[in-house]
Amino acid sequence: MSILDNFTAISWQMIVMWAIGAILIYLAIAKEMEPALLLPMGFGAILVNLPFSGALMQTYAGTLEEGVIDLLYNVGIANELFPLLLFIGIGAMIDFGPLLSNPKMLLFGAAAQFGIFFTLGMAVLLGFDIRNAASIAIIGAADGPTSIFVANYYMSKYVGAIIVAAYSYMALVPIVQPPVIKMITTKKERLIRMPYKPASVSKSVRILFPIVVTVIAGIAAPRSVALVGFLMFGNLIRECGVLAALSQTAQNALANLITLLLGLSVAAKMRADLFVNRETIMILALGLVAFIFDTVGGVMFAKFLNLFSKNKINPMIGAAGISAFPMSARVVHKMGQDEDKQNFLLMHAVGANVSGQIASVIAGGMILSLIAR
Amino acid sequence: MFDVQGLVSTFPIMVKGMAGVFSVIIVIWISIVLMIKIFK
Repeated sequence: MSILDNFTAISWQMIVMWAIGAILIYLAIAKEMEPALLLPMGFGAILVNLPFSGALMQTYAGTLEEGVIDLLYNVGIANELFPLLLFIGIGAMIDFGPLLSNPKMLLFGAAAQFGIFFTLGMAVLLGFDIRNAASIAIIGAADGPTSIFVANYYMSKYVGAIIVAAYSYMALVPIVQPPVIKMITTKKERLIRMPYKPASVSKSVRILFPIVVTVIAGIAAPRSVALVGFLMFGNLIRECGVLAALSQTAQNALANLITLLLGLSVAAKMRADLFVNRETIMILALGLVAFIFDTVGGVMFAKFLNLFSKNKINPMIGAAGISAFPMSARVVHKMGQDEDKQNFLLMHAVGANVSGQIASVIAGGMILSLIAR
Repeated sequence: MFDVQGLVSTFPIMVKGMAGVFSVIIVIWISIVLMIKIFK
């Protein structure tokens, strides 16, 4: 095979993928949007879309040769290993203290999963079969590992587009959420102050919490037990107090390494022939719908609670129930400060935000339980 | 072409899914409250 053959094998779809790869690398470096993931994904998108790329499985002179990206995909994503290992790191990073000291924030985490189920209906309406619709809807979990886990469980051929959409919108939360929140709240509502009076939380509660959540979620949605379990195991490592070094390793080395491998592995599904099509554009649009309706669900639920509550809740807190941690909590806090410099919503928002992390995994489990593979 | 029939048949899953998430979350909420009361 000559160099000229390689040149002539370049298709316009490959060039589109190079451009997408370049955009992802640009967003990672120049805008610092989820750089640990978008950079390897962007580079991987270019790597697998070179003609006769040796990074993918190829037949050379009648012999089948396995490419490293396919190999990584098969050992890390096809069997759901990477997303689960990443959850140990994420669990070790999360301090559930603000939630434990104000547990009613859990409700906002549940309400802000509305976008998942709304998008499920929209994806079916647009002609996706129920399994692919479920895989697309889970973009609304605003949680990369859960999206990968569910899309892979249903063996969705759109897994590449789903992961790109999930991580891109998570990075774009500061752009997506504020206009939606402003559209459905009044200035008076955004000015509501919420005094922060946390209940004290003992170490025993912090240790028991991840175990209890695993048992409850595991009984309610057994298929999600691996997801919840690994997330909570990471948190148990953090809270037990005797595994400080392991906790640091999980939060840093393990999470970084798995994110790097995950980003490169996903590129296996970013081949031009799988990615450059009408469905990818529809998936990106549906992902945006999911994030918007997650936000709407959380905010409207807070407004609903205010109908019965003496101590009014700033409805913006509901928007932090989306799982994109800690971006969403920061967005809500900043919006509160923009309206009133003396309004400190951060701790409430963090409580809602970490509850979103739990609720999104439970929502993923519900999807797995309700829709057969 | 929109699959309205498909959307209608998805409604029970959407409702059950949302109800399921709220049910589990409420059980976790009650558990936290109980744990905080027991292990002050």
